[in-house]
Amino acid sequence: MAMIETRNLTKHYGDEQAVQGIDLTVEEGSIHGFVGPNGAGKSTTMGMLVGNITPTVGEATIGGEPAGTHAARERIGFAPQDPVFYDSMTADQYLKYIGTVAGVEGSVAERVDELLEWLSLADATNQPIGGYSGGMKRRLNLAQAMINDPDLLILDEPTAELDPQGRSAIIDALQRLTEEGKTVFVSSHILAELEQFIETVTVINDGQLLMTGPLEEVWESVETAYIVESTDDDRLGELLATHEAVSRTEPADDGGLTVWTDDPEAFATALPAVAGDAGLGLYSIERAGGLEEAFLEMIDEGGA
Amino acid sequence: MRITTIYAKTIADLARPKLLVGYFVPLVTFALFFAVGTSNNMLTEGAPLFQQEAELYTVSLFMAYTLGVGMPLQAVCSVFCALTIASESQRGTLRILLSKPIKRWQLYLGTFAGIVSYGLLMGIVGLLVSAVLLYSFADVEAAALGAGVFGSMVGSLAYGLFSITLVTAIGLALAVYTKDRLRTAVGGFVIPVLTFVFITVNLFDLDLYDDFALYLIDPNRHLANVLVFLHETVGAGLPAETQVFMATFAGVYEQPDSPMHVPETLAYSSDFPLVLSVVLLTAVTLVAFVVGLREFSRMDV
Repeated sequence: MAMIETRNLTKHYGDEQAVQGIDLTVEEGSIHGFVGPNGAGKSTTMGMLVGNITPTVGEATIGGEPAGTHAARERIGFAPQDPVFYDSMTADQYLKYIGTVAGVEGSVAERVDELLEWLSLADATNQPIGGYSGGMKRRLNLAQAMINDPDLLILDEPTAELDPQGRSAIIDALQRLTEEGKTVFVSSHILAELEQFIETVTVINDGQLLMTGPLEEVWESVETAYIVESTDDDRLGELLATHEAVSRTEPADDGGLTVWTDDPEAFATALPAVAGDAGLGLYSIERAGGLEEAFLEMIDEGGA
Repeated sequence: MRITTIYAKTIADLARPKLLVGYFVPLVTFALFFAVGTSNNMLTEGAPLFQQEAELYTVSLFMAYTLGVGMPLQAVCSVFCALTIASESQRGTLRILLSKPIKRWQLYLGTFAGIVSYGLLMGIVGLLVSAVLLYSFADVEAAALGAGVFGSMVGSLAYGLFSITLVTAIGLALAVYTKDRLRTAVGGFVIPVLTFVFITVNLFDLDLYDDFALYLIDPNRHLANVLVFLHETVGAGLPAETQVFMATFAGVYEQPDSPMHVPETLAYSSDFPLVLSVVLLTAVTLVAFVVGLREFSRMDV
């Protein structure tokens, strides 16, 4: 069953077209990456899903309920990109306030304690939020999104401006959420870290949808790059440049040879054969870049 | 439950020590100045009790209209509107709040009720401060305080509630439309500032006021009409001395032919009936509230 479904979702601000006719489906229980450069329309799309922004045209549903309705918002936890809190409040006070507003069933205090413990904020629970570090604020942002135990979490750049340790803590929390069967719709610039557990992905640029679907389809739709190290990289480059499985070759920045291919399977067979025929030895071969590079390439091809 | 949570949060937001000091220090200073000035000029030494009561009523009403539940309170309610919805909208805290399953009208109404009731509480304190200062500086009998000071409080509080509701309805609508603290506060200041300007115009009895029918756009006149209406309806009614004062200050009554022969009751000014002002300002309040709520229900955050 679809947790998120949009049809021709569009938002105009005057003459500016922030989002243009987005059609996407996110299945229940999946973790869905939402990718695009700054200004692509990710936050506007998320705002429309949450109900904070009214679409100019089109519609979105959350678990079958029209986005923005009370029933839809009961199923959503939203963490905006730049979370702003009431600085003089403590995390405990803030979450109790948000929990009451969100209509948390049962004991709000128990739910708050549980979340503060889970997100390692229990030690700072009585400290004013104004004194929190960026990482602590991000975790508090996640906590407020989860306060009413939503089925769907919409997270806008949850790891932006965090150090590696802070990113790791958020990534761990997201992994645990997916294990609990939550649907997570997440935009992020750190795809290299997310790609391990993203199942489906949507790529947008300039407000337009470039692709949406399973992650494997992304890999299939873009060129794959490999870094190859051999006994003579220049000679290997000349030989591979004319091979049908290879798009192009280029000396790699840190030594070795970068080889782009549209057909990784054919390349895997061709490389040892070409090197063997020429009497060249192969030291190493590894995939270059990751999901992020693949998306950037897709965005470039999409006419960014 | 959700409305009461928003209501309590609004009051907690407004109960800032700096804001209270910033409001009450100038208020008490002016009230002290007025109490000393009016006790010397408006109260007759050695007058009989009924005259003391009437004079005290006039002074109390003057202090309530200009200070306790008057322009300063209206101005501070505009600031409250700026500090609540406009501030939340401008800072971004509203984005999280509105993503929760709370109905927007609950948030709007909770905030509205919080501002009005906290403003009313400040108005009560302002009136009590004025009463204490008057008693301290006026050479009157304690027996005159009941009818003279406390007798005017019910009507003045009803007026305070009315004017706070009006300003808050307009202020919150401005907050929703501008999403900006400064523009909300400045926009909300229009009513108290215009009231002050038109008090001056009335005191100088300028011809242009009648020639151009400025009473139609004079908030001082309409608010004074409401003040008199409420005092006549839920209060104890106005003594003749107070009616003369309201005639001079806001043109609510026709001036007596001679200041030496003031009748028991003055005739209301014929140009704009009291009830019409009540209806007009009530309509403005309702329209501002509905427009603000409607826009808040569909605004993007």
